[in-house]
Amino acid sequence: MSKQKVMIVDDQLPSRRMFELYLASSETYELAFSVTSAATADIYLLKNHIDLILMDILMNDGSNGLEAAE
Amino acid sequence: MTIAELPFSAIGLIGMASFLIAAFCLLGLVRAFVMKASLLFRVMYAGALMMSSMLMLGYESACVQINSGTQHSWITANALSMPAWLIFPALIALGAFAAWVWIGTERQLRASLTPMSLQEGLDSLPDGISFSTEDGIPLLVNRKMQEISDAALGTGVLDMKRMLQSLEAGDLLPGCRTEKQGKAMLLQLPDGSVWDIQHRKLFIRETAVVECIAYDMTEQYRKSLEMEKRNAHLSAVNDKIREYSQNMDEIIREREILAAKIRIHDDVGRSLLALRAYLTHPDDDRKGLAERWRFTISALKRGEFSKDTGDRMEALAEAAEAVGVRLVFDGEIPKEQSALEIAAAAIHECLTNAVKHADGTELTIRTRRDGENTFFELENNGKPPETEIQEKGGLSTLRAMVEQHHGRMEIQSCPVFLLRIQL
Repeated sequence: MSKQKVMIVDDQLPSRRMFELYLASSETYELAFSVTSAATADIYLLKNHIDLILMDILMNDGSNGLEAAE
Repeated sequence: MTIAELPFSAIGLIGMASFLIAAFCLLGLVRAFVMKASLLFRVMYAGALMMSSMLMLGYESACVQINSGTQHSWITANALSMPAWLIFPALIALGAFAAWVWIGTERQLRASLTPMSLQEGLDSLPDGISFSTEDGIPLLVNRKMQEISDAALGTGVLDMKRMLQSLEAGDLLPGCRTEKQGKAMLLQLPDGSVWDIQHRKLFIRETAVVECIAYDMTEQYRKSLEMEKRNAHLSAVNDKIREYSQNMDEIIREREILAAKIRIHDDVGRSLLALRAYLTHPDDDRKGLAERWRFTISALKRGEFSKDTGDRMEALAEAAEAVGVRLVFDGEIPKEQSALEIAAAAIHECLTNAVKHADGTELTIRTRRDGENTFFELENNGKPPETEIQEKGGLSTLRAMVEQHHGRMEIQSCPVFLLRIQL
């Protein structure tokens, strides 16, 4: 059975690395993309099927995870 | 036995009873005239009055003449010659008749509409009402209006015109005040009651009459003051919420930064403890310790392991690559914040459209500078549009952004899709 694809969206490296480590050791989930900005998060979804997105709300570049989720 | 044979005191008593009945009938008659009772009752009162008056006259005169020893007059002689057994029933019958006429009059007046009943009806109203001539002479004023006038001006209603002028001018007793609310004039009295004074001219049988009504607005006024207070409070709360929401981004960002700093602090602490433990027991996991320190240092320095370049174009290029599109930059994207924002938004929009609608694999971004002006041109290598492009959603948002910065945007639909922006 194939693993669920996860995209991480967070401008903080420690947070991204932490989630990446969790996913690396998971039997259910696998990392699809690890992105630094919510502004480009939607582009990744145009041609890639993602099952789960872990996204921060506010990024340093001003992009907003809530708006991206909408 | 005749009345003349009765004791003097009895004759006097008969005279007194006749007097009382006559007085009662006179009162009833006057009342019937004032209250405009029916003619029948007035006639009955008049008849009873006449009979009782004659009896009174006869027996009072008899008493006087008996006392003075003078000769009896005709009326006295006839009165004294009446049978004694007749007079008392006659008086009782006359009294009962007068009482019956009174009750009948009362019932008739209650059942009919008279000027008094109109006054009584108006007096029972909770609001004030008055009618006057154009010159202010009162024609009909109810009790409540009199009370209002008395409380506000110190007198009852004597001149309506003057009363209204005083209200307009605010010339009132201490503790009273007027307030204009649109067309309404509100009068507040010392007892806290509030009245809405309204007046208008009517024409009754071609005669001008001024109608003035005072509506009791006490409860509504109190509620409107409460609502004003509540609105002021809500407005203050709204201002605070607005201020908070405007600063929310900054507040949350600072909170997250602080939380990140605390985490890094804790990570450094744990890493130091792990290092110390390793130095004590060198056989422990060196690789794990190295990874931990690498992680901690990168968080502190944002060094070579960090991918946080903050470069928007780079982020867009990475995203484009993830969906199979190559970004080709022809010319240098300006570094100014506004131009950079617009360029990033335009690339984002065109990249989305290239993937969704054109199946493109390459998006070219041409940049040219001409003095203070900057020109962008974006084109993809996918299918051209089949119809004229309709601006909606992302394109209309982009146009709004460009025009806000005093720029121009142009969309070409054929032969190929082209987006041109001038800033």
